[in-house]
Amino acid sequence: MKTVWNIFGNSRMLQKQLEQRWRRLYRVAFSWCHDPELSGDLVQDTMQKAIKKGEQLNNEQALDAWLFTILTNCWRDHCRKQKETVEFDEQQLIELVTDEQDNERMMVVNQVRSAVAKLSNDQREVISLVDLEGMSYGEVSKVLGIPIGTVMSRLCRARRQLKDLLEVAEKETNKAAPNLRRIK
Amino acid sequence: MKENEPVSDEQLNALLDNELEDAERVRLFDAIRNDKDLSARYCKLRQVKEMVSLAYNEPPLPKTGVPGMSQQEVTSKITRAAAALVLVFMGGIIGWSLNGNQDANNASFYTVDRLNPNTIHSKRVLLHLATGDDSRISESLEKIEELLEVSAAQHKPIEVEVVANSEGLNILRNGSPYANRIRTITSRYNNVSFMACGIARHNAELREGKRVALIPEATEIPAAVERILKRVTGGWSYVRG
Repeated sequence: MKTVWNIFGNSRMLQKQLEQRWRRLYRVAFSWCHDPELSGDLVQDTMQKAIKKGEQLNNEQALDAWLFTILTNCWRDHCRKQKETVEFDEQQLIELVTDEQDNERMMVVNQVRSAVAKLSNDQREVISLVDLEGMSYGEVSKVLGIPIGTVMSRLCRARRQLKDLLEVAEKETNKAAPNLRRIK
Repeated sequence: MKENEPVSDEQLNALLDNELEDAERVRLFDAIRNDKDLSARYCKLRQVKEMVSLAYNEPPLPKTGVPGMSQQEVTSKITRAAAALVLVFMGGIIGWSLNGNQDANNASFYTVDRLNPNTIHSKRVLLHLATGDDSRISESLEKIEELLEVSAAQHKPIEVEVVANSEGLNILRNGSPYANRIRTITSRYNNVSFMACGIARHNAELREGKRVALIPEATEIPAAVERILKRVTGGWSYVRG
């Protein structure tokens, strides 16, 4: 059987393939946990496991889905170790954003990330893979190990909830800062 | 989907995520075209999808570093992306409000009234037109023309892209009062392009229930948001028209 070692020749080539995917894996991990250090650790674990379990992959086309499946498992393991759902600390995100750009210019990005963080883990997993990775429902179903119908219903609930949360956030922003004007 | 059967959010999401067969897609687009409420629901879902995608375009990176990228590159990328995102949101593309004066973090971001064609150093400039305000559009076209003229006179190479979306799309539609002016500009300079946002065009078609034709000088791009982010993170100067 052809394995990952046949496909990529040696571990250095696989390493290169993994590094090329670092940013994509990191972006999804960050949208799940909203913690840069944890996201970096999750991606690092994913890569180490991918190298260790190289014999499981026998098709180069399946590399992306395989890596995101490992990332999902790493994330779920982390959540299980916390023994409870990882609670999102909104203050932490605000400080984080303030670090990135030390003024209100990140307000909208902050609002969207806060809204995403308020979704359940299940919903966040689905919406990130669809909207950030552009995966089809079938691919998401395989990566997360859930039926396509469940992918659809979680996505639907997630977008509905985000729409409501963002509308509320917008109203609050307008109320809090009446001197701000909308640009046409 | 059966005729006259209410369209569910699951179906609209599947349409948005390109999960439907051709026949089903056509049928749903017809339904959306003929139903304002349905069209509004579809547009809202599309906005949510775009916002999620944009909010994570450049997440903050861990202090431990990124494989293959120096800390300086990381910082510069984040700064540019953050500014780009805010400008995009402020541009009315998505319709979320923010503060009013978009002098971003450095000299690469201008409002058109602050753009001085004689002093700008950038060789690559993107003008974003999301407004229907005639005086603003005229001023934008004047400044861009002046910029091209000054650069040509001084033999400075420059590349200019004019990206129109939202209400700004109208300047690139057939019958636009600016059509002649744009034709004159493009015939005089070959280093300027006019681009129409595909999403804005699609939304206009849904709203008006008819095909929206563009002037021959305009090229359709998939999404203004995408183009602006790509250009700004690639080091282009951004001018808000």
